[in-house]
Amino acid sequence: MLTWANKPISAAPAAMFRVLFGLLMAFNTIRFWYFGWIEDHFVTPTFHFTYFGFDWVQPLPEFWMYTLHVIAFIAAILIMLGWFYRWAAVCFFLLFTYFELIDLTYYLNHYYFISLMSGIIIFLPLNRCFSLDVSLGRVSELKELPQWPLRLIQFQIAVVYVYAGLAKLNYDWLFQALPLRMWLPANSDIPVIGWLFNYPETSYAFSWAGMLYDTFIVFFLMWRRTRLIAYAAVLFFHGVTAWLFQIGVFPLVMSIIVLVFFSPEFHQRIINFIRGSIPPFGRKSLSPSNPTVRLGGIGISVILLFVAFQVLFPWRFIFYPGNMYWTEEAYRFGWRVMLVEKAGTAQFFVKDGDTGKEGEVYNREFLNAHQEKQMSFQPDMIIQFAHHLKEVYEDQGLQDVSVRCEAWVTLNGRPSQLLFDPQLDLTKIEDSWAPKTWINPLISE
Amino acid sequence: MKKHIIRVSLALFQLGAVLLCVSCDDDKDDSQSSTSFNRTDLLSHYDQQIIHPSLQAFDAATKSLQATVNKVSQNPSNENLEAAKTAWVTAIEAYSNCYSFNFGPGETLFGSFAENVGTFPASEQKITTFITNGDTAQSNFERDSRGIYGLEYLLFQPNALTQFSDANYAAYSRSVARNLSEEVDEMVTGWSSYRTGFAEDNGTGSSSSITVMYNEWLKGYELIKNFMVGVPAGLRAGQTSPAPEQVAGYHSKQSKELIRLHLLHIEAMYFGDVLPAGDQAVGFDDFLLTTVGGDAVLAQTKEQWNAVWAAYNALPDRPLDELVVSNPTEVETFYTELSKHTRFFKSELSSRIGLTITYDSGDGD
Repeated sequence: MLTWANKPISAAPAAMFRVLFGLLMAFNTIRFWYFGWIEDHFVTPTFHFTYFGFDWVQPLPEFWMYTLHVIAFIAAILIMLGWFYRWAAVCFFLLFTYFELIDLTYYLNHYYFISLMSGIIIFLPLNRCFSLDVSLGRVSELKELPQWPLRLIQFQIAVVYVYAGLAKLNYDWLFQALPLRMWLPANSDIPVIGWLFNYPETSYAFSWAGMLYDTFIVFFLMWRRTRLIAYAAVLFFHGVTAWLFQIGVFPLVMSIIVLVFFSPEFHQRIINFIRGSIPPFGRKSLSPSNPTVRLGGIGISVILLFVAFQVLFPWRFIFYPGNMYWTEEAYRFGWRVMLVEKAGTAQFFVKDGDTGKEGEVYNREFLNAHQEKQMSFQPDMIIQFAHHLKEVYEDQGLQDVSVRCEAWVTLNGRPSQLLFDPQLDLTKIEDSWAPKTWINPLISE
Repeated sequence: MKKHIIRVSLALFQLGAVLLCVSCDDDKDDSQSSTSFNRTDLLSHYDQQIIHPSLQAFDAATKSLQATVNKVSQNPSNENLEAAKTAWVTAIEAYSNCYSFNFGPGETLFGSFAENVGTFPASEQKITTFITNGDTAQSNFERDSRGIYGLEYLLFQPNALTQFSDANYAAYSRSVARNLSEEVDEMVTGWSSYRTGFAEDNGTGSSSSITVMYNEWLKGYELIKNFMVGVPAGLRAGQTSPAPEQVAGYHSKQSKELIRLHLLHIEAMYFGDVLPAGDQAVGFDDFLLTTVGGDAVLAQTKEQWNAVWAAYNALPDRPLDELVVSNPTEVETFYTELSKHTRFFKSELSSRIGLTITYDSGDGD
């Protein structure tokens, strides 16, 4: 295993990955700012839903949230340039992960992916080639690296695709073409091909094609003979999803970073092209090898543990009873992307234990539209909100407050049903990793 | 190894093709199958038959109202005051048909159409201060000191006729009526330029015509449930007793009727009805029928509409500010039925017709 991991290969693909990843993250940070999301996500909300065990992560005052995004942008640029690379990677990882941990309602699999990837690259010697760290003599250049850094990056990308494909192996997706049968007709206004989306057959074709694409695309990207056609499929698939659905920057991110599966020669040509257009400066020592980038026993053990975690963690749903798409238990961090159409209406009622008077909460007094939408069908968020309401109303002078909620949820076009007993006092329930037995089973499986 | 991958892939593709055929065959008898829906037709209908005519009617009503207010302020008499009150009732009826149009020209940097025109309840204290100070500029953010409900206070308060003899009171009333008319005029003008793009933008994204219209319509429904009924009835969390003075239409004693009119507007917008005749044309209900599970949801929604109207009709024929004290149980029943209705609008409809409610990126692959 060690021999395989340390087998030398060209450093070009890993270096180009660093450049592209840094560039994309810089673009993503600017985009986030441009759309006003720093304000909307971190500054305006009066309440944030926290990740289990991370309730200590809170947003800083407005000035600092903007400042941190400036720092994250600079860190992404430094990653791209490979200048003070490791510090930049640490900085970007901590900041991006901090932003993501602030509010659970903004969880996206791809944000998780970026957090993971920015964490992984801290430990990879991606600045040993085509970097300012090399040009300025901060580190010695390596034309070849052991293959483990590149393989680890490819593994993480493969996990995203393969698990996204496996998650589509379910009855609704394959045999009901749901949720695509609900989503595609909404795009029938698109010129030229829009009319096709009104046909269920189109949804079935998209469902199956999507499943097959996600499950197998990385294998076709790995294989030289199918790589080009596979990449054309990548561009087509992500182009179509970007066109049809509101999924932001991620089609672009995935379309670009899968280039890491391309040959060293391909990456070297790009590097040579860029080098040709930028005058070299301050190039220092060239060192043929460096033992610090070779993997030892401890290193490979850590990597194997990480790999095992990535492979096994998405399967934790088998320990929970019921339909995962309904209960949401073990749903996150499993690469289940664009898999269900789920919506709910959650109405909360606060009761003063002293007087017995009960009143309805106007959710928008505490939550923005996005937070309310996400919370209304996710049980752990409903619990968090109920606990928050108890605090708020007890601060207002109500005594022994109980909070109940009537949450009607629809999954993939099924008739709405109550997510749990509306008489349940949610303040008595603590969130945990244990199965949420208080959730009603999905009636129409 | 590579050969194995190819073989497995091909086998899966073949399996997929077979299952696809099977699935499509099954779908022939599937009542949930999707069919096409022409969103442009819906938008054109709403523009031409509902939004534009409603705004024009409100514009005409506010102009008449302004004329009557000018008259009573220049010549305070019981007759002139009654004429102004009648004009106000006509105007509020017209407003009830367009209070949810807070998008496009109805959404400005200085607040929404409904905020600028229909903030309630009016603040007696702020109005009195402006009158005392002789401030008729209407250039502030104290929206509860003007608008149609500000004018309601000025016309319907017990000493209105006497007060109109006061120059400041009369001038302030004129300025409120003028401001109201100007706001509505601006909205009508804005809509005239906006309407072409409105009908053409037939997508379902977060900023599409149908989504912004739906969002504001939903807020319009929640305004009725929460603020026209819930708060006055003391049914909001943290309230210890009813708050009758919080009703819309307190001074004119129109509070119960206004709820009916506002609900009629919400219903008309759902079914694409043209008020007051109720001619049904293409509406959200028709859109819903073309979606997965839409027929069942529509049936349930209609059932709940019936329950809402039954609860409303069970209320004694008195203003809501009196009912919340004298008949709290009936009011609470009405509120409960309104609450039950929320899900049909808030999640059932938008989820099925595929509207993207918020701007934030969804998860994607």
